[in-house]
Amino acid sequence: MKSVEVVDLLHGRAHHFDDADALWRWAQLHAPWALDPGVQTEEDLLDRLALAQNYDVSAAEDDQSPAPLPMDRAVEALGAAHPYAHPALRPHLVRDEGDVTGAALRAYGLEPTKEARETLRMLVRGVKPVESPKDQPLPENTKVIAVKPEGEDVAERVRLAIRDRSVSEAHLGGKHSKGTLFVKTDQGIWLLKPGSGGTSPALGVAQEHVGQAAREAVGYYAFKVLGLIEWVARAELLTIDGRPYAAEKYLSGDGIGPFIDAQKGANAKLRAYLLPLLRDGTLHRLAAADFVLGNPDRHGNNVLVFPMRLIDHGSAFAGPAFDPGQDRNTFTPCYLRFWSPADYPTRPAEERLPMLPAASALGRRNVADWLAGLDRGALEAVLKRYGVGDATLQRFDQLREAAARYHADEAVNRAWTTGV
Amino acid sequence: MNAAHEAVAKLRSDPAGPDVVDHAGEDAWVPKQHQHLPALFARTVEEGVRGAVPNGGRGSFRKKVLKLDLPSGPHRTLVKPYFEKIPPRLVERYGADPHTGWAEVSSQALYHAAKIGHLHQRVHTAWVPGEDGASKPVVAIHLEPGATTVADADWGTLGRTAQQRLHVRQLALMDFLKGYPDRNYINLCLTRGGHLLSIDHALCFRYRTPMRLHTQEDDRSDSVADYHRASALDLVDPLEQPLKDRAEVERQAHRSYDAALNWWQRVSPRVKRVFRDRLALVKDPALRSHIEANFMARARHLDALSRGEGTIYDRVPLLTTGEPI
Repeated sequence: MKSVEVVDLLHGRAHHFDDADALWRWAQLHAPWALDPGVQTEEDLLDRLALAQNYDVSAAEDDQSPAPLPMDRAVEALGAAHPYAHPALRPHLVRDEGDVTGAALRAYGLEPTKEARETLRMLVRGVKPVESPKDQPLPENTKVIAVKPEGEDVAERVRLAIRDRSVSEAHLGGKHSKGTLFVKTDQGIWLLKPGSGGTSPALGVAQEHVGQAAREAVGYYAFKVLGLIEWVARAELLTIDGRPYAAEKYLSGDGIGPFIDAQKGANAKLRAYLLPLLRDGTLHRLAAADFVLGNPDRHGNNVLVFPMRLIDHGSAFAGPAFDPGQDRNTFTPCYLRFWSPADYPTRPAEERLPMLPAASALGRRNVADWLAGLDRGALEAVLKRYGVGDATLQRFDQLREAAARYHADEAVNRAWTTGV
Repeated sequence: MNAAHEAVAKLRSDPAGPDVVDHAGEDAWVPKQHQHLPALFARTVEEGVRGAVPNGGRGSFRKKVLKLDLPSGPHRTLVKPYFEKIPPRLVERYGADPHTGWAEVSSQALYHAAKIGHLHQRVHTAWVPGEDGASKPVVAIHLEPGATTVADADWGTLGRTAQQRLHVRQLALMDFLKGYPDRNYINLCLTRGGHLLSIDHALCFRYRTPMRLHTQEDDRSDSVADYHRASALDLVDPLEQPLKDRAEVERQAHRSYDAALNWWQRVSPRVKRVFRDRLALVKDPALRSHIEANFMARARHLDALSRGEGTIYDRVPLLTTGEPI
């Protein structure tokens, strides 16, 4: 992409962009209203911004170089740090989840034929060559099975990676990382997380007998039926030589990192990033989901930012004893706690409630509408499919009832403090 | 050619525009409250009094900001083509007709007809020399000094007065009437004086995209309630109270429109009359018929509501020359 400037005429500020990713990230943060359904390419986005009275952009007429070919744009999109967060790809991924290559082709008007897919993969590999590690932790005859049919494409990628000697040990830090493997595939890196890490001491976690690997997968599908799929990484349940593993898409790239690191460093940047998400109710929807799913571990190492993604559901789906307001081993989600004083965790629940932020009036309405529109039956089906107990549905019902008594964002805040 | 001349001469219009709207008739549409502005604007362009403000858009041909000297102090004016071209990918959502300038001026005319002109930004059309030497029409938008978007405002101060709550509802009725699906948080401002200011009306009168909540994806109809609760107006004063009984929520929300619907009953004949005058400038018969069918259906709907028939949750379909889309 040629460099462009987007000018905020109301505030007299100019924003300079040299690459498409930066432009999309800026728009998601500062001009989400411009992301109309018809906006799929950078040119569309610039056109939409220029249609708004308060914005202007440098004209494409300046650019005398030929427009990039569709395949070049597909390569750029597929090579982006987070294809799932790429606005041009996302509508296609929503329709055909998991087919990132197909999405990159369709997004730029190309038919996803076998030849086109292969061409795109070769071009992407040319951009980011995949190196094979010397030591292969999994031998070629390793048996990889998808526990559910929906994970078969991931299982196949893992099998191919084992054949291509593209599996290596991961050293991520954290209690669940021991035995975790990196799998390099044509669609990015996947983590294989064994279902045998230490369990959280939080109340209710031990009441649920489903293993950690399965919790990762059911967490992903639960977020999906809650309409929040873009905020989590895909995860599937596999067995590798008979042992359960969660295969989780590894999120990496320029700028992305743990919430806790961003909080320590560029705090103002993190605040600017979170504020629109707070205003439009996104943070409260995520916190509602984390409460319903009984996740006591939504601390700053289990949330990535720039862009924001929730990772690691391995301790979620706590049983009936889950009690985030009283249990000192349960983390209030870090993205809600962000606005609270440092001594928040030590305060009694009644004092913590007013420390949590409120959404805007519009955001509050978004949360209420979202809660009202959720399909309880779909959530129940996901839970039953993986054998998860009823406590999750009970929390779902509790939160919905609370949202009828209080503002929806307040109901969420209460769920994490005084209880609902 | 001075800097101001150069700045506006390059603004590019949709060449199809003159076949769609009779822009020559726009000169008469300046509200009497700011009839001094066109002359000041013309003088700035003619003499380059303060020149063009570098707005950062290198080589931008879409809009320019000029500075005017008013008795009250320096003043910024945004200039953009009267006929803005709708980008191809956005045509499905907004339609291809380049009647953006007509929409902006019509919106202002209706606000003044409804006696709420102070809630609308000040706009007028003007003629500026083009690169080929021929005059071309532009829209001059006078940016309100010190105004902020409601997103930047102190939320604790919003919706506190009965007058502001009435203004929210008047804006919602007008947005519904004009089919304005773009009332996001940068298109609603708060002036230094604390009253709301409606800006950016270029995409009004299209009636192709309903204002809707995300739970109503397939709906092809509009209600007054949606123009309130799904827009930035809800930031200022939420439409609905969090009650368990949904029917009671809607009853209360509808009752909160009593004063606004009384206002509509008073201004409706004049608004419709002005609309018909404005419509006469639309040359393209298909577009004129489309706008008229939708506007009048909505105006009749508001008339019915003001007579106590129905509620603000009742829906009106989007029409294409009289038939539902």
